[in-house]
Amino acid sequence: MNWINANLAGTRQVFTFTAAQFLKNRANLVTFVLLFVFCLVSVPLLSLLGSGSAQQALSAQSGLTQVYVQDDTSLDLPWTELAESDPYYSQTSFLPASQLSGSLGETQVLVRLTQGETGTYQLELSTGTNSPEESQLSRLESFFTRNIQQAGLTQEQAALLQGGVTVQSQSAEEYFASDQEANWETGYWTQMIYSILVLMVSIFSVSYIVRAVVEEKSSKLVETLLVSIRPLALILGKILAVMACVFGGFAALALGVLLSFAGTSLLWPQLSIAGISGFFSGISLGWDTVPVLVVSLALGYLTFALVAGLSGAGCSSTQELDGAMSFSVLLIMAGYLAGIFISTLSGGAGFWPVFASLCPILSVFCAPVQYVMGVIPFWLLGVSWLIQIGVVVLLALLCARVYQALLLYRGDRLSFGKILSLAAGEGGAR
Amino acid sequence: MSLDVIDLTKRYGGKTVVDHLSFSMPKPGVYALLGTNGAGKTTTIRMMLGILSRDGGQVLWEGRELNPASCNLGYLAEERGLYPKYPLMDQLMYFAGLRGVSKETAKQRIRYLAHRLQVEEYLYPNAGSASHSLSYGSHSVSRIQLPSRQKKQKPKLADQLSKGNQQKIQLMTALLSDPDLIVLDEPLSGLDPVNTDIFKSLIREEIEKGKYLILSSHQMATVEEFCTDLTILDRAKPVLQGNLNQIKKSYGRVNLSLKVEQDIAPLIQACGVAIVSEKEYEYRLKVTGEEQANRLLGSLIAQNVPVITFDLREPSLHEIFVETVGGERHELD
Repeated sequence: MNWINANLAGTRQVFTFTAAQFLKNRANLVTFVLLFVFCLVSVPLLSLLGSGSAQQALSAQSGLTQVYVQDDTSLDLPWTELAESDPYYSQTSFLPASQLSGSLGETQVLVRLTQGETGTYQLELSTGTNSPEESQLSRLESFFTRNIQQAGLTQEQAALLQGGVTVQSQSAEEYFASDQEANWETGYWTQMIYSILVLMVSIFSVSYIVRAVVEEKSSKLVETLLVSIRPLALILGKILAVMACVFGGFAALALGVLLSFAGTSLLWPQLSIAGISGFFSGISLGWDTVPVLVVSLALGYLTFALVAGLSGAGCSSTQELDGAMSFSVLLIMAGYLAGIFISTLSGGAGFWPVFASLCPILSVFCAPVQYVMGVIPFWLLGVSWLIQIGVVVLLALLCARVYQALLLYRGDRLSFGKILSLAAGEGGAR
Repeated sequence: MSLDVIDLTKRYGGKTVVDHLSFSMPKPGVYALLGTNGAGKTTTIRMMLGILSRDGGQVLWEGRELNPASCNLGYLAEERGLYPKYPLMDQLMYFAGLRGVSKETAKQRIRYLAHRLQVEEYLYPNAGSASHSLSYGSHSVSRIQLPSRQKKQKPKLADQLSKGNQQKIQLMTALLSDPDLIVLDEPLSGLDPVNTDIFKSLIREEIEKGKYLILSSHQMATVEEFCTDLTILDRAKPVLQGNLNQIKKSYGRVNLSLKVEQDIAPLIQACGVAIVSEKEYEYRLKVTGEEQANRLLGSLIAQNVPVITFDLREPSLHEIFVETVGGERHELD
């Protein structure tokens, strides 16, 4: 306890000062505002891009002449009237499938709604040899999905319905193969999105921390600071402050996306957001998803931030900033690429996902995704966290051991290897 | 309160940079650490303050290991700086917080020091023209004329200040906590004469308040002005230590300044007195003692040489330093 008190006294002051200066930084504020605005418009923008041009989405006509509907469900919805109330389909005739004669033309679609024995629904869109554009079919799918949901379909049924296919017929083997492919795709994209999130958080934070440490050192402030505060508190205060600001910022951005999602559903229900919500159906989202992501992100952040702090302390001037950053950035990039590669290679099963979830650095990118995808159990995620905590503690101890010597060091930039050698020889800061 | 430095030692590889240095300050005052470049002054200070690990020795404050918890410390480092892009007031409040000073006390102290160091316009750019009465501890300032109210100005950043003014802010950081032990490493380097006087007046004020000051400087006149005791380091080792007055007395009154209106060099040499320097009949001489000086004076009178100045005095600190360090080096060389 004495060791902790002695080494961490002053962390709060460093935290407050660093956070205040971070938030006062105009470049940080402008970046955040731009990202927040982008998040607010992201969902309608993505929906519009997914459904064709904005004009098509909001005011233009569907471009379809006839939609033949074969409704074999017990819902018995008035599709013709529903289509008439939607301006997008004002020039499209919704007709019973019985009126279809001959083959389907380029602007014609046959829609078949069926109900399975378990109460699930299936939506099939059939087209002729010359099919309409994908965006037209996506909008049509969205039209049917929305109206069935409004007719009182359960969320589970709706989720199944949203996975509807445009294939007219398929064998059992093809059916299972497509199911596996869908899972692989969901896993791949989940891994990709999470890895990019970790990448963004880490690189942004690492560059800020390295810059802060090097600037403090090159401004010749270190000696004055070290009279009042121990080096571990100095680096930890900085790291935690940047973490609070960056995580707070990302939480605000996530809120922006949620607002965007909710606003889009409310204001422009005709936009196709079915694809976005359908994406999440392949992931085991639960009450623990957010805490798992936050804890995993925090551990990853701490690992890279401590490495960045040490790299920065090995520099003597701002000219060496790039060199100091490159090691941390390369480490992050290596983890990112390996995470994506393993996820792609393994297809969500076998040895590699477990290895990636336990191996330090890789686990930062892989463990939470593998857990959310249901590939690894919670206890294995716990083991992964313990290993990551161990790495963070080791890095913190390394910091306590060599950070003071590094801060007073004047000379060429020290590589991380040399810093480790220094730790082996250094008998302690004081 | 007392400060005891016992057997302080530091080695880098096989090289000893501070070799068994001991000194003590049993009462308030100014202790000077002097030495040539690379003699080990800054390393000694860094070890004393716990910034650098030591290979041996102890530093005790009131009999306990010296650290920020046991002693209210103020330190103006030789290598000093400020965050170039952060507002000055934020930085001062930060340093005050690190020293455990409450916000209210820090604000009072900053205002007082800003006035004493004449940097109010940088710390309070939007202050009104009203006069203020201000006090801190036993010291008070009756009136401050602040800049007139104009368009609201942005807080000043460190890199917008001149070097001298930055140095004043740095001295403020050292004195923010009203420390009991103040360590000043080359406090006056790079300052113009006006700012030197401002710094000196503040140092004098701290001495009057009964603070313990450790002063490291190459400006011997300044050190002589303030210090009571000293250590001269040469190549990591203390070569001269003790009370400045006693050291001077031990050298005796052997420095003679003589000003006349004609060339008397042959007469001086005839009396066996060594000439240190000569410029326009103004001589600096080294005598063996008062007897030799009196003999020279008698010769001058006997020769009817009009004497403008005849000043027999103890050696200055500068002369003692040069003789101690330079002389020894000369012998070694």
